[in-house]
Amino acid sequence: MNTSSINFEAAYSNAELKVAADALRRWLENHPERTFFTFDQVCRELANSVPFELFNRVLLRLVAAGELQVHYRVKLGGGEYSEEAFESLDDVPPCVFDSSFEPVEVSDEDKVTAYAHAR
Amino acid sequence: MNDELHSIYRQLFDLSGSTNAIRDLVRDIQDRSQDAKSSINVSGTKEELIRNLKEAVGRRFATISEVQQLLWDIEEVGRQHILLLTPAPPGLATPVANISDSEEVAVALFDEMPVKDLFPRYEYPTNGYLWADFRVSPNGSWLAKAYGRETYRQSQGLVSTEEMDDGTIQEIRQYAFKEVKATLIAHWRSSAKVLELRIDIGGIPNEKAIDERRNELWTLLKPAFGQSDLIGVNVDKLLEEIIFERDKPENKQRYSISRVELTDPRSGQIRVIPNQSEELDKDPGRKASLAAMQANSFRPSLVRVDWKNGLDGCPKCMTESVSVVIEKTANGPELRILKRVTNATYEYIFNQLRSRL
Repeated sequence: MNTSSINFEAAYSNAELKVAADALRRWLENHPERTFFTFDQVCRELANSVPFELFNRVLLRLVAAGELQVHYRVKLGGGEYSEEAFESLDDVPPCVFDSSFEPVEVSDEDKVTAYAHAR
Repeated sequence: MNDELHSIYRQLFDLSGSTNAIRDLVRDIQDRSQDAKSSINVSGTKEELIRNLKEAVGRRFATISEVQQLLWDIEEVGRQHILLLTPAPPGLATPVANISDSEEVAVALFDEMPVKDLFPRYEYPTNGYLWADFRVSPNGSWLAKAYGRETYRQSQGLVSTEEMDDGTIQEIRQYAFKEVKATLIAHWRSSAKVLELRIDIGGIPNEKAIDERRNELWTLLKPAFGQSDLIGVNVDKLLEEIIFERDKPENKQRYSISRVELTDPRSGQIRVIPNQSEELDKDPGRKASLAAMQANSFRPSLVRVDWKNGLDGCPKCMTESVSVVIEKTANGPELRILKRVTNATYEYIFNQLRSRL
């Protein structure tokens, strides 16, 4: 994900959040190929250094500031996510497609919030 | 004719992912004359674009045939699983009709009724699948299309529980009925001697639905030929070339690959699934692993190919790269396309594959 045009300062409201926002920025810079990410992915890789609650607050601020965009995907087996993204939870159909374009039935608990660069 | 036109416009509106194609046609119409430019609008919602298209036909800037062709292009390619079959060798098959003979196939499917009197139809059946079109090309290729309507129960996610007098718990789930329209196509390519069974993957309610739709198509085709009259097209060489010869300049320029699946000499399965379907070769470790598998006689069974746009031979309407999965399945080799594409784009991709068969 190209982070150069994301203004992370929108989340710098205090020192703690600045630490979390900078950690998120570095992580995204190290994953330029990502077109989206989820809260779970960030926490799994960064929770050793920053409390996950802080990331939650950073993400909320970046979304509110229009720096990140929220959409919904379905978490599939093997760390995959649905090929298609949906604007709202109600738009998620009963079946989505994996990276081999095979259908996978959706459970409510597999629906996740995903974040992408707001273009 | 007015009823028919009304049905065509309604189908265009109902088809998901059709907005860009409609806009492209309206833009093309607009470019035809100064008069068209000043009176036909190219912006707006899908509903507005269809209204503009109606206006263009009404004012004779465009023909009804063009609108009909637009509908066919949108509903007949893309967002499909496509099985690639070829007639079984003589002696192994007993088809009622010779698959390569469009007249024999038409007689078997529709008796002696002239297909020009029967088709095209634009109305979907109330339930189940019915033939909607049968078209023959000058080169002997033919296309048979069926429209279908399916009704299924969709969970509303609401569950209530009630404790009964005998101490057991009764659970009540809420469902709503949902209707889905789908299009199934059998397309005989006479020069390639390939029969494509194109199954619409839109709006499926569960994982079995694609197989069920394919069975519906086989049932419709049964008066002419059956599953035992065809075999899968051999795609072994195609998969080998796409995966193991991808570094050749002419291949590297045309496509990249992401997910691959292979079978080892002892029938074990290996899958390489790059995160977010990024190009497989972006990671040197993945590239080296694949080279090692090739050296150890692993045989490919699936590849996801991203065909690049903007190259010599690509149609103008192919404005972005198109991902296609090719997999050897128990039913025969399958092409899978998730997005809607234009007919020209699909023909370009099919020809790329055919040249490597």
